[in-house]
Amino acid sequence: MARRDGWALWAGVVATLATLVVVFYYPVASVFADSITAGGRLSLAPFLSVLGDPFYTGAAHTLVTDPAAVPSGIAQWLAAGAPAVEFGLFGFTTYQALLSTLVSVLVGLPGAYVLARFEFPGRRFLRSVTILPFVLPSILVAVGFLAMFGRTGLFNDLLAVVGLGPVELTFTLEIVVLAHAFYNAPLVTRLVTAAWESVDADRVETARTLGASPLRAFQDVTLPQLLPALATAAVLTFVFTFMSFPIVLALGGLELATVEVWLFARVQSLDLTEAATLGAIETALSLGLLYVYLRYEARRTEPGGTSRGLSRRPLVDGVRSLVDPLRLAIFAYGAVALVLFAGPLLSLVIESVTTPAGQPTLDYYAFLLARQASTAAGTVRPFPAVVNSLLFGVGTLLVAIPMGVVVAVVATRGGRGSRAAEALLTAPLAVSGIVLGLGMLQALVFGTTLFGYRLTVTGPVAIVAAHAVAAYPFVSRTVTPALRSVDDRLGEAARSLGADRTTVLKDVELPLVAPALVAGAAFAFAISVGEFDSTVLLSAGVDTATMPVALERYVGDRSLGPNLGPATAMGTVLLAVTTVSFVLIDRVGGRWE
Amino acid sequence: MTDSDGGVDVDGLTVRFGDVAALADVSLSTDDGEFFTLVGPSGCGKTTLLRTVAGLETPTAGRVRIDGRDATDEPPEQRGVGVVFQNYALFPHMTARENVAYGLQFHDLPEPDGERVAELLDLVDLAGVADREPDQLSGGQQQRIALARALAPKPDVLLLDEPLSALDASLRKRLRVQIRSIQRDLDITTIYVTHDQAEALAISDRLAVVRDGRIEQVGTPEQVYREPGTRFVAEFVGDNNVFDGVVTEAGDRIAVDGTATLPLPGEADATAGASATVSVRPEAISVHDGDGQHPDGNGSTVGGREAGTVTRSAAVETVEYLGDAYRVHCRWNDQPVTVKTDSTSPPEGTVSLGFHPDAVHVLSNGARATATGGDR
Repeated sequence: MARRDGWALWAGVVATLATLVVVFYYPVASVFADSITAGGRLSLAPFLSVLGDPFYTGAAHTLVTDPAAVPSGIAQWLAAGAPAVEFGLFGFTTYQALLSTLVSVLVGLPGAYVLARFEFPGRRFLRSVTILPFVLPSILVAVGFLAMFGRTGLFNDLLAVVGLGPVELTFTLEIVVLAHAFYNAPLVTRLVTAAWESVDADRVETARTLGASPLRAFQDVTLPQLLPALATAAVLTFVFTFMSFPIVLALGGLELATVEVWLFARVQSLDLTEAATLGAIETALSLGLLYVYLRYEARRTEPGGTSRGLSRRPLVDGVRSLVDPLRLAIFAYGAVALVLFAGPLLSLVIESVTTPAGQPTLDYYAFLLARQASTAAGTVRPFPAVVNSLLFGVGTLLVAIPMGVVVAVVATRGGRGSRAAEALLTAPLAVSGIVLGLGMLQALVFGTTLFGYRLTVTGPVAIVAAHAVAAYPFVSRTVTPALRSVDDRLGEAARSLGADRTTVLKDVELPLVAPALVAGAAFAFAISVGEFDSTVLLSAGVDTATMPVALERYVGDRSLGPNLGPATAMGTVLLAVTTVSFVLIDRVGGRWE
Repeated sequence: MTDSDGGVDVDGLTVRFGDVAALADVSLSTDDGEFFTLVGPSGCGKTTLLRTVAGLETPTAGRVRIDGRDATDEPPEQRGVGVVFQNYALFPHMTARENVAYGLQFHDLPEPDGERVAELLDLVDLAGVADREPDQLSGGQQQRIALARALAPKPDVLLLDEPLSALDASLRKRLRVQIRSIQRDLDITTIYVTHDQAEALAISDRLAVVRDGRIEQVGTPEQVYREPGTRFVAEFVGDNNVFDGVVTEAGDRIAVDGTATLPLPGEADATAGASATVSVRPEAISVHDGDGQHPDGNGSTVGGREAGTVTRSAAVETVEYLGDAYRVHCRWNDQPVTVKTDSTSPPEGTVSLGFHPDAVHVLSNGARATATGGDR
C-alpha cells in the first residue's frame, strides 16, 4: 500500500475484526459446528436426518433415505401423470420466496418505469421514499398489514362501503406475499430506476439514427442495461424473502411456516441441534446464491465514459394526456400502489387512535406509558420496551459507527483490503438474524469455556452486539461512496503541508463525509430499533424486550382485546422513530444503493 | 442558395427549450458531398442544430431537408443520417464488430459473410480489434469504431458531434486527417460540430460560426479567417488584434485612443466621424528594432513608405516562444497588440511594428464592411 497509515487505522481494523470474530463469526461457526457433529464427533447425521425427513424436503427426501429408488420413483410419478408434488418445508419456503420475488418484480417494475421516464411533482420524493423499507421494521409492516387487510381492517371497511367483501386474508399465503412485495418491490424500483437513469441517451439515439425503431432501441440498448439491475433486485428479494421471519410469523403463523419460522420454533422448544442444522442449510443456500450472483456481477462490464441521461416526459401534459391509455394505466398502477404501500402504514396510525367501534381514543398510548399495565409473569411491559429499544439503539451506534467507518476506510484503499471489506460487508447480509441469534445464544449466552474460565455474554450486551453486526454494513455502505468521492488530491495537499495520515482523516476526510456519517448513523439506529429476529431469541426474559418484540407479543396476545390496539400504538411509535431516521438519511445525504 | 439536390438544408429553424431559444431562426445549406463545420463556443447551439438535423430534437419552427426531401417530421431512424457522438456511445455489451454491424439489419443491406462490416473495419484500420468489446479499445479506436458504425448503413449525411474532443492533441490531429480523407473518399455530406476553431479551419470545405443560437458567418476557412464579418468572428477564429475607434476627418484612418491612429485599407469607404472597429492579424505585423525613431508612438511611414507599410512604436511586455515563431505581446499607447514574428531572437524593449494598410480589416460601422460573409 502506497500510503503510510496511522496506527489508529490499524488499531481500528484489529478491534473491528476482533469484534466480528467474537460476536459474528464464532457464533455462526458454532451453529455450523453443531450441525455436523453428533456426540462430539464429526457426523453427517444431523444433516441426513433433516434432509431425509419428508417434513423438511417432501418428495426429495428419498434422495437421502433411498437414492436407489429415485429413478423408479420418478418413473412412477410420470406414469401417474406428473401430479403435484410436495417438497416439504424447504420446498414451501422456496415456493413462497419465488412467488414473492415475482410479485415484487411485477409491482416494482412499473414504478421504475414511471420514476425514470416521467416528470411530475413529487417524483424526487417518491424516489427517495423507496429507501423506506430498509428502515421499516418488518414486524411493523406485519402489524400494518393486519391493520389494513385483517378482518376488521381498513381494506374490508373500504370494500364494505362499495358493497363487497369481507375478504379474509389473515394467515393466507396471499397476505404474506403482499407484505413481502411491500418490502421488496421498492428495492426493485430503486435499483431499476437507478439503472434506467444511467442509460446513456446518446447510445439510444445512436441506435435510432442507425435505423432502430423506438421499441428496437429499447430492446437492444436500454434493456441490456436494465437486466443486471433487475437480476440484482430479484436475487436480493429472493434471499430476503427466503429468510423472511417476522412477516411470516405474524401473518402466516405456523401453518405457513418457512424454514426460518420453524427454526425459531425449534429453538423455543430447545431442539438446538435440529435448529442449528436448519440454520446451516439455510445459510449455505443463501450464501451460495449470493456467491454465484456476485461472481456473475463481477464479470459484467460497466458502461464507461460520461453519459447524458434520457429525458423525462411530463406525466400530466394538458387535459388530453389524462385520457391517454398509457397515462390511465399509470394512474391505475398509482392507485394500487397507494393501497399496498400507504394503506398499511395509514391503517396502523388510524387503528392506534380508534376503538373497534370507530370512536377516537388514546387508551392504547396510555397503555404504552403504563409501567405495570400487566403484572402477569412473562408479559412484556410496554414502557420498558420503549426505553430498551432507544438504549440499545444508542449502544448500537457506539459500536457500529466505528466498525462501519473502519471497514469503509479499508474498502476505499482498493486492492485486497477492499475485496476483503466487501466480503465482510456481504456476509452478515446472507446470515439471517435467527441464525445469528441462535449462534450467539449457544456461544455467548450459554457461554464458552476458555482456559478454564466460563465466559458469557448475555442480556443487553449480547443484544447490542447482534444489532451492531446487523447495522455496521449500512454505515459502511453509506460512508464508502462518500469517502470514495473525496478527491485524493485534497489529502495529498494536506500531506504536503505536513499533516500525517490520521490527521488528514480527521481534518479533511471526516468533515467531508460527515453528512454520510450522519445518514449511516440514522440507518444503524433504525436497524437496531427495528431488529426483531435475533432480539427475540436473545431477550429471554421480559426485562430486555424491545419494541418489535413487544409488538409481536401484543399481536399474538389476544387477552389484551380482540383488536390490534396496543400493537398499533407501539407500531406507530416505532414508525415515528424510523420515519425520523428516514428523514435524516434522506435529507442529510445518504447514498445507499 | 436554393435547395440543392443533395446535402442538408435547414430553413428558419428555431428550437426552444422552455423559455430558452437554443436556436433562433437559423437557415443553412450544405452542398452535396461537402464537409461543413459548425463552430462556436460551448452553449452556442451548434450541437442542438446537429441534433435537430438528426431528428433527435424537435424544432419549434422551421424545416429540415435532407437530400432534397423534407425530413422535418421523420423520426431519426428514417432520416438516413449517421451520427458520431462526443463520447462515441458504443454499445458496451457488443463487440466492435457487432457495433459496426448493428445498423445494417435495418437497411436491407445484403450482408454476405460480414463483407460490409469488414470493409468498414478496414476503412478505419481496425480489422484487428473487431472482436474486442468497447472497454478494451483505446479512445482513438473507440472513436474510429463509432465512425465505422455510423457509416455502415450508407447514410446520406454524416453528423459528427465533437468526435475528437475527448482525445489528446496529437491523436486529434492525426484522426482529423483520417476523417477528412475518409469523407473525401466516400464523398459524403458531413456536418461537423466543434468548439475548436483551428480544427474547423483545418478540416472544413466551409464553416459556420455559431453564437447564441444564431449564425454569425458562413464561408470557406479562408474567407472566415481573412474577412471576418463581425467582431465576434474576428476574435473567435484565430488570434487577432481588434481596435475600436473613430474615422478621422480625412477618412483614411481611424483614431484609436485619441491621437493614436491606424490607417484604413484603400477600398474602405469611410464616413468621417463615424465609429469603426478594425482588426489586424498578429502575423500581418512585423517587428523591427525601432528604438527611439517614433517616440510619440504614432509615427508615420518612414522606411517602408514605398511599399505603403506604416509603423508604430510599441513596448514589448511578454514574449512566448512557439517553436517556429515568437508571439510578442506589446503595448501601443494603451492598446495591447499581439504580434507573431519568425525572427530568430525574441524582441525586447521598444520596437517598431510595421504593417500594410491592406492588412487592416474593417469589421463594422463607419465603413463598408469588406467581409462577404461567404454566400449568405
